[in-house]
Amino acid sequence: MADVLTEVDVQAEIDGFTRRSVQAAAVFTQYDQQRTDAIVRAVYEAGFDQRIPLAKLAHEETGLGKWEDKVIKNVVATQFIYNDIKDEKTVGVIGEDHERGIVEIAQPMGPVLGVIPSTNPTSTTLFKILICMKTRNPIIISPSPKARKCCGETSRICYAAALAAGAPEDCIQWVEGVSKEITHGLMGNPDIALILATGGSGLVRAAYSSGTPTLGVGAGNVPVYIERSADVDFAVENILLSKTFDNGTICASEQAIVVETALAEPLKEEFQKRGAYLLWPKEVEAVTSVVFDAEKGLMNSKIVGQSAKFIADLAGIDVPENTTLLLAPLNKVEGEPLAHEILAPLIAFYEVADYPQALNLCIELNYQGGIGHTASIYSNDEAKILEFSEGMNAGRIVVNTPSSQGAVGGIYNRLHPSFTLGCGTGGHNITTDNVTATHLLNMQRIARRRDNLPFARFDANLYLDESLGHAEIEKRFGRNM
Amino acid sequence: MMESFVDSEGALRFRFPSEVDTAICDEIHEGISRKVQEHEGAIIFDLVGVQLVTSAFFRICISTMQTVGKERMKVTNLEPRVKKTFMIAQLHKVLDLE
Repeated sequence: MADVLTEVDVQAEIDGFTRRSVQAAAVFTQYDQQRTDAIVRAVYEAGFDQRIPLAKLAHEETGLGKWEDKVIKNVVATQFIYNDIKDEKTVGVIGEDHERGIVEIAQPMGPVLGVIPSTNPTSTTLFKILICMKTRNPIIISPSPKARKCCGETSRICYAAALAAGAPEDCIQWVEGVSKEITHGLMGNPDIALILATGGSGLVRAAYSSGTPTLGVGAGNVPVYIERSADVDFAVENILLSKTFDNGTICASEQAIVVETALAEPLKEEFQKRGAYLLWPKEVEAVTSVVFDAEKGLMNSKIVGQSAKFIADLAGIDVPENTTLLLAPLNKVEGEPLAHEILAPLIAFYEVADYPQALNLCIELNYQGGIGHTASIYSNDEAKILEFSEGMNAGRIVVNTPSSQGAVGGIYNRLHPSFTLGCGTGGHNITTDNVTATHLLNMQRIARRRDNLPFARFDANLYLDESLGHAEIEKRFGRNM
Repeated sequence: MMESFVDSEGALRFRFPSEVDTAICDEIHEGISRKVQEHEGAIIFDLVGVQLVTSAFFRICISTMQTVGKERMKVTNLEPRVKKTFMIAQLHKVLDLE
């Protein structure tokens, strides 16, 4: 494809994608559950079998994270997602309530545009394709330009498997010559039924602004509170497992540790014992200058998904080669760049006097760019876990769990596994759910007549009597029932 | 399998198996093109008994319509589910569906 697309080329590309997708959507409506499930099974098997080459390709192309961890992400996106959705009814009548007289029929939504980030490219592609196939929705994959090759290969593998299992032609398409114009053009195209937008805030905002219904995500800024009753070594082990996973590229990874003074020293010691490096104040400044792009007010994209050693080197700090995590002690949130989301093995560290201060600080961090996303607590005190949860504006509050893997679901808890984590209205999303197949269905409800008996026995003319207020009406309504 | 015949009104009428999938379309496309070019009257795609159509069949419909013109071609006897498929694919805008 030519490097520069003319406006006519762009429109022709968009029209081609949507025309083929609309036809695939039409053909898909004829498929029954059995035929649909056979396609899902085939796509899962093909994706799972290629989990390692795809992870290596993603790592090689994007330069982010660790390929071994990307393998795990691909496993979650195939095996875990498949096991979560395989027995779900997604075609035809999926629910009946005889008493209420309601029958629910699942209908596909139509062509879906899947926007894919560079941080989790192959896994998010696999996930979106699987949930779309399960719901008989064709999908067009629009990857980050940094991940077009690995997303294209993932889509190609899934499409070949789907076709071999009898799926409609063009049920999976992918944009090879990704450009802003094509992505935005697809977003606003009236034939696109839904956008599954996972990525940076600019892209998600563009999806919402397109006027096409969108299931998007919000930015994370996950506070992790280590409460007095927590086991320090257990908490440290789990935080490291989460924050170093794929070099911190999951938006649900911990961003700031909050701990009461009583636990602060043992916690620092335990982190250091496990290879974390505690930054000195001057070093915090140096790290801040390299990880934060002051002009954009965002993390510097160069450090996303890089190792602790890489970031330290960039900041001119000498740390051991095997450093797992950089701990940055801070004492305020407002105006502090490191109190924002940093998708790398670097975490803010706050020490506070007591529980009320800890809770207030977590709330402050939560509202500092992470509203609606995820919060984390290590505690064995049920009352405090509940109070903390109620204080957070987060779709997921993970307890005694590595936050990255916990929020994604399916491994450490029974949340639906997902690579699109809804952040509710706080994150400008429509849901706080872990998005899954059920979100991609239009539900029809056949409503059989079930008369409202109190109303049927009530003299409706009384509503027209101006002398009667609600108290008099309520007295008569439902009488002798 | 597919069958074709000239009906009592002189139209060339095609009938199809219950599932007109991609493999079947590959087999029948050339035969349809040839017969359509040899026939001067109306062309009818009679979908009686057809339960499933695919994009490949849509392409046959469109290419036939482009060959003979919209006024000479009709798609008839669509089962409701198949009719809905044509509607979702927006083919009612380019084909004469009865």
